[in-house]
Amino acid sequence: MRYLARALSAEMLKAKRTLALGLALIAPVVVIGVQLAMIWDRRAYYRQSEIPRGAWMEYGAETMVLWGLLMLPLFVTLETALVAQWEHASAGWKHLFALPVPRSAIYAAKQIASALLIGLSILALTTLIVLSGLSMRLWLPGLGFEAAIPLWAFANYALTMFLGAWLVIAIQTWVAQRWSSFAVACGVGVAMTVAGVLVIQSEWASYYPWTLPVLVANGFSEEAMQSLNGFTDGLPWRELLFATLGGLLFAVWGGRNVTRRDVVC
Amino acid sequence: MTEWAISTSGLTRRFGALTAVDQVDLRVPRGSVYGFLGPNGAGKTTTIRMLLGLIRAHGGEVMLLGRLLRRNRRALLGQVGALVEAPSLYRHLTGRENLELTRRLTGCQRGRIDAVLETMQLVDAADRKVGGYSSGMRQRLGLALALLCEPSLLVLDEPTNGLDPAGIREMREFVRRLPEEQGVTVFLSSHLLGEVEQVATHIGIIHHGQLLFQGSVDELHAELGERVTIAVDRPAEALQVLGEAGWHARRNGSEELYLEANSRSDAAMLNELLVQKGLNVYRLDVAQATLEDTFLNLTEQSGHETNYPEGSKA
Repeated sequence: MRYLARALSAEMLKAKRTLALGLALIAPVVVIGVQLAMIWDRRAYYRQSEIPRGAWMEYGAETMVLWGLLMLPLFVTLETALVAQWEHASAGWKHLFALPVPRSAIYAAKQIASALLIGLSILALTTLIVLSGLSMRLWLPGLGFEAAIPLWAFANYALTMFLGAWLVIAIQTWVAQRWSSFAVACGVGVAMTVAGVLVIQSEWASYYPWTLPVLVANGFSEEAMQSLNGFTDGLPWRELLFATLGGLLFAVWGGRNVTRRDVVC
Repeated sequence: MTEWAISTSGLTRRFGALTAVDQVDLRVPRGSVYGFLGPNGAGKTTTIRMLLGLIRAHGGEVMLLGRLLRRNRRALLGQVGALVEAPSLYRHLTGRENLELTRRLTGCQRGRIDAVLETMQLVDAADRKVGGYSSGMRQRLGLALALLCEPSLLVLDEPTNGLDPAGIREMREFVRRLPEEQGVTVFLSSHLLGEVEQVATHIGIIHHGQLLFQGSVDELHAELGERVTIAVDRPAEALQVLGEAGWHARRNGSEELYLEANSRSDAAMLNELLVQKGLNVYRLDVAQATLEDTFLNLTEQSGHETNYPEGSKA
């Protein structure tokens, strides 16, 4: 644990002044911007008092689904590739692996750093949903944002989406660390995310790592389950377990695979 | 305490059909500056990567500071500083942050950062981003990283790459002082004979993966014969004639021929041979061979074409 803490501390320092860290805040801002534009366009709909699940949940769930289905897998792809490029671009592996630190700790720190950046982005998105909703309460009265904020539902969404992303984070971390090419990591992530838009409509969605975040998050949000007619029966514990345990196991395998390779560049 | 800072036995590494390092038995004495010399592609970097555990050996063992690397990797790497080819630096971080990063990983003392910055004359540039450093400054920072945790053994792979002549001189002076002032053993690889010749107490010559010579600089000097320089009207033809007679002559791109001889009577024999073949010899010098001659002779005799090291006579 001592070595993992040291390696993690080093990763935190590496994140300083990087695009990877900046994107964790910029990406949610972009999504919220798109959503606000859509609300402005659909403000007549929002002014109806009979939105079934209320303005907050309508806005929050739509934003989370947009984020979870499309933006999050792409964001995981980009973040893991950027984190891996810290070493690939600086020929850092030969330096790190010649230090008196277990290689597994170095890989694990990278895995955790990527996961933390994804977690930070989800936290930023959730915070921005609340802040933008409060802004609309102030400047666009009558849209339904005067109601109480469903903080618990949002927190539930954020946490389950983060846990649901563990497997895809582990897979993309391995791809990005294993191959030095930025294009390979991005190519795999983008192709799998696009495929996910089709897969989510099939029975395979429960086993497809790139759709698991939105599936798990929606499954644990009763309101969202109703809106999407439910992809699962009841709470998706099986999918949550697959995403988290699968993520941990894949991270262990990925770490062994990467750290046992010869460092030739 | 063992007398060797590095010792290997039968160290071998293959890449497909190519044997990059072939049964190498290194013996690097403690407190020495060991120059590991060879042309580009000779197997120097592959050997160094095996010494640091970065790539696996297909045969043989590595012992550092008297202990087996395979069984004591972490403990041994804690006593080794390394700079392998270009330094691994994060361009978006400052020089000080790059050092801090390695310090956090290794857990060595915070005060060491200022010490190595001062040693490598980087104090003024310490808080600037590395992306703005010159190649010489990056090389110095790479060396600062290698020295950060006060190593007993310093492994430097082509440390003067990218340095200007003044930088090369500074690096040379610095390396030369390390064993005396800090008790550090330096293992230094280079394809520049002149560079190694000026700092090394011991020399190893590798070519096509095989260690052709290993010993002290004095031992290498003892092996030196005499060098014969021949100016002749048709050098290409003369080269062929000498080759057919079993002499390892070379031109190094010039009109003159160079070869090592054992005695002055050899020079007379060479003259006679060329004249008999109708070639006009208009100059023939005999002089003590230099390290460069010995290096070229050794590498050429290993039976492969040689990429001549920089500094060879043109």
